[in-house]
Amino acid sequence: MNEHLNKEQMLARANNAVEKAGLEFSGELKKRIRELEIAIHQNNRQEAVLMAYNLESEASTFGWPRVTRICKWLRKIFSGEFDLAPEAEEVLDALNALKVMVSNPEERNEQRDAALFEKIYPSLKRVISEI
Amino acid sequence: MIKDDAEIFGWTDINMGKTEISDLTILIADKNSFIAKTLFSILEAFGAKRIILCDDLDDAEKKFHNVEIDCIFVDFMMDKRAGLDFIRKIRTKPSTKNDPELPIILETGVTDIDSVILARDAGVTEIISKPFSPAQVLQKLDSAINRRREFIQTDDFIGPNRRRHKENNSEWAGDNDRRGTNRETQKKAMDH
Repeated sequence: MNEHLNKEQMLARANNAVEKAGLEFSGELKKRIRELEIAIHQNNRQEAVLMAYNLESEASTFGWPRVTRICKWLRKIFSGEFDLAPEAEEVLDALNALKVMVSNPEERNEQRDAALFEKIYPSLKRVISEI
Repeated sequence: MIKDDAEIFGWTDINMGKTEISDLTILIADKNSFIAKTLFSILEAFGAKRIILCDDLDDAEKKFHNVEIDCIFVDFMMDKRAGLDFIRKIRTKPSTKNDPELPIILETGVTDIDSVILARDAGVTEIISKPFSPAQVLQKLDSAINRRREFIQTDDFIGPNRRRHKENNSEWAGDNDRRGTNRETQKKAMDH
């Protein structure tokens, strides 16, 4: 490895590395959402918080903004940081939206995802006003 | 080091006496495999050769006691937020391999003001919020290694000065300024 990289070379190499990691992440996204769903169904709050937190960080890093916001919402509700307690149905709707959004990471459907998010947004906002 | 590196990245004359990013030993303590792997790849792309990845804090603590480290990245939420306790341990419990002034960069996806204050008071050197870009990692690393702040040790706090460089503080000279002549003026006013 060339030790004498200038800043531009360093950043170009690093951006390539992030891009590769992003592809790997997209490939695992479905499985990860499924694991989060299982933790929620098992009422394993600690695990759900950690999984949602990790997914939130990763989804934001790798360009999944709506997944990021839903995971943030889930992290907050399972951490007890909400304005109004969520209904079970609202949690299920959020999870279902997540599952649809990541159903085919190779061919993302922006229009569908935007509509889905718009549909659940009033619930998200009702429970946590600053989401 | 070539001139460009020194100028752009500023790896010059730092306290550790190391001038190459490839000379640094960097520890990443993060349970989130993807973020940890990404950070690892970013640092590797920068030219770092000695990167230690720990997915639990016990392991990270062992490394702190057994390996000379130049910088630590630790995740805020790691092991139920024990990342902050880990930072406090580094600051308060000496190791034969590393001094308490070791630069620590906290990675966090939780950026509310209370969490940031908690992190700052635990003695972190820098905070990097997720998502982070390679440019941000480079900037934080540069800041932690090359632009070290005065290290403070009091009964209440051990860590880098929580105030940033003096040159960044604006000079304020309002009516309630307690410095210099205004302080004298205030004292006189109170005496009357």
